[in-house]
Amino acid sequence: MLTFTAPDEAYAPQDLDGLIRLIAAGNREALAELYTRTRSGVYGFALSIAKSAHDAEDVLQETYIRVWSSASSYTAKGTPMAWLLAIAKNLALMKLRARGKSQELEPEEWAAIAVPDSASNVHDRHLLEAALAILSDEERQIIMLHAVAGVKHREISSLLDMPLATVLSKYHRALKKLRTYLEGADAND
Amino acid sequence: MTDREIEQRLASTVEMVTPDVLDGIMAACGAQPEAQVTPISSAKKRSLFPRIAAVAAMLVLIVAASFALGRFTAGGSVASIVSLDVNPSIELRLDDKAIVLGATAMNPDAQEVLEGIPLEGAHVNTAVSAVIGSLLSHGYIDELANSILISVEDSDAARGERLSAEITQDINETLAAASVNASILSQYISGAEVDSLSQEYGISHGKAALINEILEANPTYSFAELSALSVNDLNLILSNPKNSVDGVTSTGSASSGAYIGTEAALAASIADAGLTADQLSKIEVEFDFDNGLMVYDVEFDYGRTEYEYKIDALTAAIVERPYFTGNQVETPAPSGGVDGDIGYEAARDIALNHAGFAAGDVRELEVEADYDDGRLEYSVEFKSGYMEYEYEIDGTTGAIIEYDVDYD
Repeated sequence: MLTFTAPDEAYAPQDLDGLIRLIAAGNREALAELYTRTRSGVYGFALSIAKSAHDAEDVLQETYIRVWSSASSYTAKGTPMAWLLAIAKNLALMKLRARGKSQELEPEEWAAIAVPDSASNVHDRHLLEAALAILSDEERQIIMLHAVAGVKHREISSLLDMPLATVLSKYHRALKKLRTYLEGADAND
Repeated sequence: MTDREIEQRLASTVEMVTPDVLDGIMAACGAQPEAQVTPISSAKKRSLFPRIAAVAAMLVLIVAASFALGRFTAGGSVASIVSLDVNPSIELRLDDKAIVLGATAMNPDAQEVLEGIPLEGAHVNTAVSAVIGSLLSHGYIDELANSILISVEDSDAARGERLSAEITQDINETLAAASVNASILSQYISGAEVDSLSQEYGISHGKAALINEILEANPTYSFAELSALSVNDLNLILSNPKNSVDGVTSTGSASSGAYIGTEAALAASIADAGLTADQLSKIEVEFDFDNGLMVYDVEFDYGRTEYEYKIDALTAAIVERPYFTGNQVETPAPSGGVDGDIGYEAARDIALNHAGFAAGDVRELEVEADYDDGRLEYSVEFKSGYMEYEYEIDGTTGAIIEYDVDYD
């Protein structure tokens, strides 16, 4: 049985606000704490946009460096996680632009870049591979934002500039695709 | 497998594959944020150790200047580079007596502006006045777009800042004589630091440095988006208090004559909210940039309810409207009047009935209308206990399209 921290608990907005205030005052421990608590959400979202583990790793690092340099100008409008993810989104889009292409990767390419064998059991690997390979760009971003980063659908709607109803539709469509894929994968195990 | 299980497994797996880059982050953030300032922003805010920050900034400046030295001395005598950005982007290379050694048109518009103007050998004051005259006569500075960006690069910081102040004053006088209320942004920059960005996006050093300043204040914008904006639009964005920058001196106000204006933006917002101006308090209207659009951020209070709108600055279209909280009695129903629209209250009641709650049983109730593929839909969200409920209701038939219950 996997241990799991519910995203909403991991990213309690009021606590992250406090961390960003400490970071603005130059507190390095607060930066490390913010990183520890939010890194998988930022990485998952960056991966869903950049479609490259290497680029997503760069984005992950650069996001917190940006947070360090601009925490003093952060205003508590929306949630801190939405702010972090907006920074990550821009950095990831710049990576895509710098690469000059945003081609779809084949499923086996996703598998190779995203999930080392030792990282998790076979079922979880299937799930992440599917999330990366069989979903559309928007579905992949939405599912990473909600399931991994713990962002509310309403905030996703704002972050991705997409009507809330569309976010909800795409989210449920993505979950259905993943379930179908997983049931097929389980049957073949 | 339930939705929740899929979400949990995905979250756990991403957690496991997320690389650990903390050491790299901490190495890059080794000192106070102020220690990372670029030469264009030597006076940063909120410094705990202003003296240290100032010294660090000066060291960065000296290092950057020494890197840039090759460029300044390559021609034997270039001491300063002055750039003027409107949309035409012009670069003047000066010797240590502020005499123009050469002028470069950085984009096609600038070629037209410089055509037939002998600038070489002229003092910078004369040269800048001539360039401003040409910009005016070619219609690049007018009441619709009156912003000019002056950027000075100089290995001697004191001389560079003096030059920047003098040129700003000259331009103000030239434009005042022409009865144009200009807004001048001036900055002292290190071209070496922004050279690669400048080349990648095809913009001047000055504009790249200005965009970096704005991004430092507000990293939710992207460089690519801002690079496509005119200097006047960037100046309008800078007028928003949340985007205030330290390294840029500003005179005058950017013209907003090309846009609908704050009154019209407010009017569009309050009309959508079904309110009148005399019912409102704490009204704030500021320029902003949102997903490729110049917008007005409109905020006001109606009773205890805070409204936030984003209005397209060109068309007055509503880009973003507030989420109406259904159980706030002060919030009126938005103007609708569309045939076949069940309305906010009916959508709310359908969701509550389905979940088995009365309005008083839930908290953070929010109802929003959206068009999905041309179809009116209501999104209803609320919380009860430890659970969060999200419904998608067909705005015409009242049918529940989808719903989700999740841990809050």
